[in-house]
Order: sequence, then C-alpha cells, then structure tokens
Amino acid sequence: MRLADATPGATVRFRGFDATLDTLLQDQFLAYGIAVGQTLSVLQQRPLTIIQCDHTELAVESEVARAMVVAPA
Amino acid sequence: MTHCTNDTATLDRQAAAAADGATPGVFALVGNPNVGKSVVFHRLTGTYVNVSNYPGTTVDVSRASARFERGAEVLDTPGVLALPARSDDEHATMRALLHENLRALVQVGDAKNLRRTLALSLVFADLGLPWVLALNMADEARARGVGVDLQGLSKAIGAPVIETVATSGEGLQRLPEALKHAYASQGPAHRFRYPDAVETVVIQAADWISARLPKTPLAPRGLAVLFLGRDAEVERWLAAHLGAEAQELIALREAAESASPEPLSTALAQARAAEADRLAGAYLRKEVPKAKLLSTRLGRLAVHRIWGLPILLLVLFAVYEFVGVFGASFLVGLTEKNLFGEILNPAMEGFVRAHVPWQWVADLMVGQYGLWTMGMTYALALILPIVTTFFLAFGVLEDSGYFSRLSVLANRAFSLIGLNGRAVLPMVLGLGCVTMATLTTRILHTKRERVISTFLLALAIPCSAQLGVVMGMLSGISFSATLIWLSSVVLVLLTSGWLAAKLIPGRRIPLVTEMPPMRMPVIGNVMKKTAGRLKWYLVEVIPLFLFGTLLMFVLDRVGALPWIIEKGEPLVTGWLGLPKEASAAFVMGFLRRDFGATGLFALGHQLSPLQTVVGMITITLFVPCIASVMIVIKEQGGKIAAAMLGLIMPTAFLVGGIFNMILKHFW
Repeated sequence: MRLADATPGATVRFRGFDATLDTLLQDQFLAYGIAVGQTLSVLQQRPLTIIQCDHTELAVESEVARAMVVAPA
Repeated sequence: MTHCTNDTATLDRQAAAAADGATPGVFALVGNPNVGKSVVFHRLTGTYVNVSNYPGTTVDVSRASARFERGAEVLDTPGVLALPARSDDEHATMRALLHENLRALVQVGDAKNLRRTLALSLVFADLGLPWVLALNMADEARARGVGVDLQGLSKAIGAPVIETVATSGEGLQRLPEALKHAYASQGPAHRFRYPDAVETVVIQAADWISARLPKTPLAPRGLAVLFLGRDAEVERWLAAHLGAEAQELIALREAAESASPEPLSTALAQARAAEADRLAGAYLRKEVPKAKLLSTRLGRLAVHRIWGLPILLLVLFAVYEFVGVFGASFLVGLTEKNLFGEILNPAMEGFVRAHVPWQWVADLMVGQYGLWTMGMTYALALILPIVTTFFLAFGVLEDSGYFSRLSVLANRAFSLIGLNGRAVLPMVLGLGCVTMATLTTRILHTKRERVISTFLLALAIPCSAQLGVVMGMLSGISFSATLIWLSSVVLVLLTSGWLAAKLIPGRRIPLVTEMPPMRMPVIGNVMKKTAGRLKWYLVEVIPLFLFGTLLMFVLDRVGALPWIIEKGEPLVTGWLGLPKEASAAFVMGFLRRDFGATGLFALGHQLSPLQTVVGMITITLFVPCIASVMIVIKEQGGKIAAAMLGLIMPTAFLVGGIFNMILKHFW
C-alpha cells in the first residue's frame, strides 16, 4: 500500500521508498526519523498528506506520498 | 556503543580546556531547526536575534559575548536537519564548525523528539569536541507525556544531558556546570561503531587524515564520517589543506562506494538512525499522555481541508482590521491630523520661519518638500503607526506557528508557479520587509526556486510600510476596493510566476515540510521582535526619506520636477488616468515604494476612488527599494537583478493602465 492510499486516522508501518524518489528526499525523511519499520500516524490526506512520526508532524505532497510504501501496523 | 580512545586533537583540546578552565573560547549552539537555539542564545548572551516558530529563521551565524563566562563567545548556528551538509543552512553551520576555534558544542535538541535529536548527536559525538546535550522544550515534552532518563542517556552518549525550557530560562543555569563536566571527561569516550563494512572504511579514512594532518579543528574520525557522507564543506577543507593528496582519500571513498550496495551517505545515516532508535527506546520514559492539547487541535484545524480556508480568511480579515483600519485610519488620523497637522508642524513652521533668515533654508526645512514637513512627517506620522501595527500582527502570527500551516494551504497555488508551499515563508516575510525576505529565499532548495521567488518578491509583494499605506487609502474607499487591489496583485503574482516557471529551466521540487506545534504567542517575544523591527525601520527608512525629500526639493528648485511631471503626463495621466502631480510620487517610488505610496497618500484628496485603486496597483508593482535591489544583486548577481528590474517597471505601468481601462467602465 502507498502512504497516499492510507486512511486518515490509520497507523501504518513504513516499509520503504520507491527507487524513483530523489535520494536527497529519502535522506530528509531519515533525518526526520522515518526509517524502515517506523510506525506513522496518518492525520489527513487533503490538501496534503500529513503524518506524525513520534511528535513531529510532516506535510507531504501526494507525489511523494505515492512513492512511500507502508503496511497496516 | 563501545569504548574507544579519543583522537589526539580531541585530547589536546580537552586537556587544554581542563587545565585552564577559565580560558575564554567560542561555544557553538547547534541542532535541528526550530528547537529553540536562538532563544537559548538570547538567554546565554542577552543578545536578541530574530526568533520564530518555523524552521529556517536563522540563515546566518550570530555571535555574542557569553553571560556565563567572561571573555567567552557564543555562536548561534542555523538549524541542521542532518549532517553531512546539504542545504545552505547546513553548509553555514558546517563552515562554523570547521573554521571557528571552538571550545565546546551545545547541542540544543527537541526533548519530545529524542530519536531525531540523537541521530544528530551521533555525528557531533564523533567531532571530538566537548559537548553538552540540552533537551529543550521539556515543558512541551511533559505535556505530551514524554520524559527522558537523563543520567542513563548521559552515560550512554558520554556527554552531559540537561533538560531546558529556554522560553522561561528553566534548566539553563545548569549549562555552565554541564560544560565543565564535558571538558573534564577526557578519558575514553563512548563511541558509536558503524556496521563492520562501513566502520572499516571510516577507520581507514580517519587514520589517513590523522597521518597527514596532525592538528585538525575537528577529530579525524568526525571529518572522515562527514567526508564519506559527501559533505562538500569538509571536502573543500580537506582539499585546501591536503592539495592533490586529497585525491587518495577520494579514491578510498569511490572504492568503498563501488563495493557498497547503497550510497555510503545512506548507509551511514541509516546506521545512525538505527542507533538513535535503540537509544531512544532505552532512555525514553513514556508517561501517561495528557488529553489532546488545544494547540494540537488548533494546529490540525488550521490545515483542515474544510476549515483551513475559512480560518485563513478570518486571519487575513483580522490583520486587515488591525493594520488597515485601526493602524492606517485611526492611529494615522491621530498622528497626522491631530499631532503633526495641528500641533507639531505649525509650531515647527512658525519657529523656523521666525528664526531662519534664508528663505530657501526655511523652505528646505518646512516647505512643500521640507525635511520636516515631508520627510519626517511621512516617516513618523504616516508610516510609523502603520508599520507598528503590522509588525505586532506579524509577530503574533509568527510566534504562533501559523506560518508553517500556510505552506500547506498555499502549496497548490504555488505549484502553479513552479514552486512549492515552502516558498510562502519568504513571501509572507516579504510583507514585513522585502529586503530581509530576499535573504530568506536561501531556505529554498534550488537556484530556480530562489530566482522565481526573488523575482516575485521584487515585483508583487508590498512591504509592511507600503502595505499599510495601501490599506489605509483603500479602506477609506470600500472593502471591495481593497479586494480589487488584492485580486490584481495576486493575478500578477500568479501570471508572472507561471511565466517565470515556464521560462526558467529546471523541475519543481515537491513539498515535504515539518509543522511545528502551534503555541500561544509570548507577548514579551512579540514586543521584542516588534521593537527590533521598528528600530531597523527607523534606522533604515528615516535617512532614505530625508534623502528622498532633499532630492525632490533640489529637483523642484532646478525646475526638473515640473519637467518630469510634464514629460510623465502621457503615461501618468493619459495611460493610468492619474493627476499629473502623481509623477512626483513615482519619482519618489524609485527610492522606496512606500515613499512613493505615501506621495500618493498625500494626494489623497485629489484622487477619485478609481484613481486611488489604479495608483495603488501601479505603485505596488513598482521597482523594489534600493536596499532590496542591493540584496538581489548580492544573492543572484548583477545580470539577473538587471533583468528583473527591466521587467518590473514596464509591468507595473502596463498592469496599472489595463486596470484603469477595465475599471473605468464599472466605476
């Protein structure tokens, strides 16, 4: 499942990035603490995907959310 | 974590510091963005730097004397999301680490986001400097049910850990003592080891550096980790100190990269993230979380797909009422008509005319283009009340964390002009001061984004003083007049941005941004910021207003002003439909757009509602002020600045004339 397809309110486990996603962006997510296996709360999907990782809230454009693979936690 | 011996440079430094505890030195505040480094800096030095509740406020290194140790200095560095450095902010911090003679680091971290903080700590731990971890915003962590085993963590990372709340000063009194502990810990440091394959390369690179450079500002191991992660600043430093020999180190990295299934930078960052995760798991105490905070609810509502827009409109309306109606109408009425018009100016005029025997000197002081009657009256009676209310409103929004929510709401609109919602921050800052905002475009990731944003700032973003004058004039007509002006400026912004995005090569970067928690604005912080900005305003604007007035006086005396007014008549009167005297306002606008807008304000009684709207649209889009042009040249170079100016002035007159033609059919 893609992060962009997750239901708002759901908790998901991060599985990885599409290889197409810019490595700088991948590094940026890692710096925010989003590593493989990390659980994320999906707060909303519109106008942007908003996720919470620990106590950090991140707004992510749908193009990027579609390149992030997650699984139900 | 394993026990290793320290590097020679580290031992030298720590031994020196321990032996001479009173030796003054430089302490650097480092850490993630938006964790309160600038507030800590203010507490440690008494020096106020601009503090905001969104990432990217600190774009340069600030320096001031430390209060806690005579002769010592504290550096406030821009926030780093991660090291090795990638963004301009991170490069600036890395340069400070390499080129300052640092005695110790104080890592300011977010107490509620321990994993992120520790991932960065693992880089700092390898730099070989005494360091202290200050877990800041401990109050926010407690409110969220987050606690940290400080002693356990301190033992695990081999550095003192303290909890602080910089906004109230809580915990900062423990920092000097913690620093002493950090100097004293010159024994074996606890150090993180990367997975074997990576660790072997790190040791090889560190040994290689150590063998060739016996004295380094940072420990060879730290330099090796950053070099292998492709930190351009470290690479430049090594190249400068090693010359052609640095190629051997590059070859070592290339060989390691080719043998690795992923880039070394990723492998290093992933290993640190895993270790930070382990440490956080071991030392984070999760207490019973309190009920969802009001600030959290407000923060969510501000970006809600339904409620976000009405809240934005409400915020804009409140700002309009406070700045446009209260500031520009009520307060300006008090200062311009009552104070200056009825008391100060007649008194000054009477005094000067009675005591100055030379007519031209008296005219220069209190005539039509008098330094007092025009320059000081415009600056103090018209603009000062407006910018004061604007800076207050701006400070409240800035301190609350609302601006980051704007990035989310504005993302779609900004995607039309080749940018992402992050660009809303320089644009909003531009409403305060276009010059400062042009510097803030550095937070954008690519050159293309910076050029487009700088162009739009120069073209269509009115600064606070100009905005206040515009609001003041338009609120005297009707709210719909303000809406027409606002729509025209937004239309120009989007159209020119769309064209710029088509013409400037490169691709758009999608938005990924952090949203800091919403907070109740701290009145003291808002007042300090407002006072600092007003000081800047008075220092920058008054001399320019006086110079502009002098220029107008000279042009009038030598007969050039009537000539300019006559020559400008086809454009100003024929095309824009304004009275011919408005040409003088556009001449003033070359110096500062708000000076020009004030010139139109002074013509207020001669202007019809249509002329007011057209005049305000044109002067809003007119050339940016001299200070902004200088910054554009500095940031983007002379050619780009010249091209921008060459486009902006014709656009202003073209758009003003088009609106004159359209609106006169309806008004």
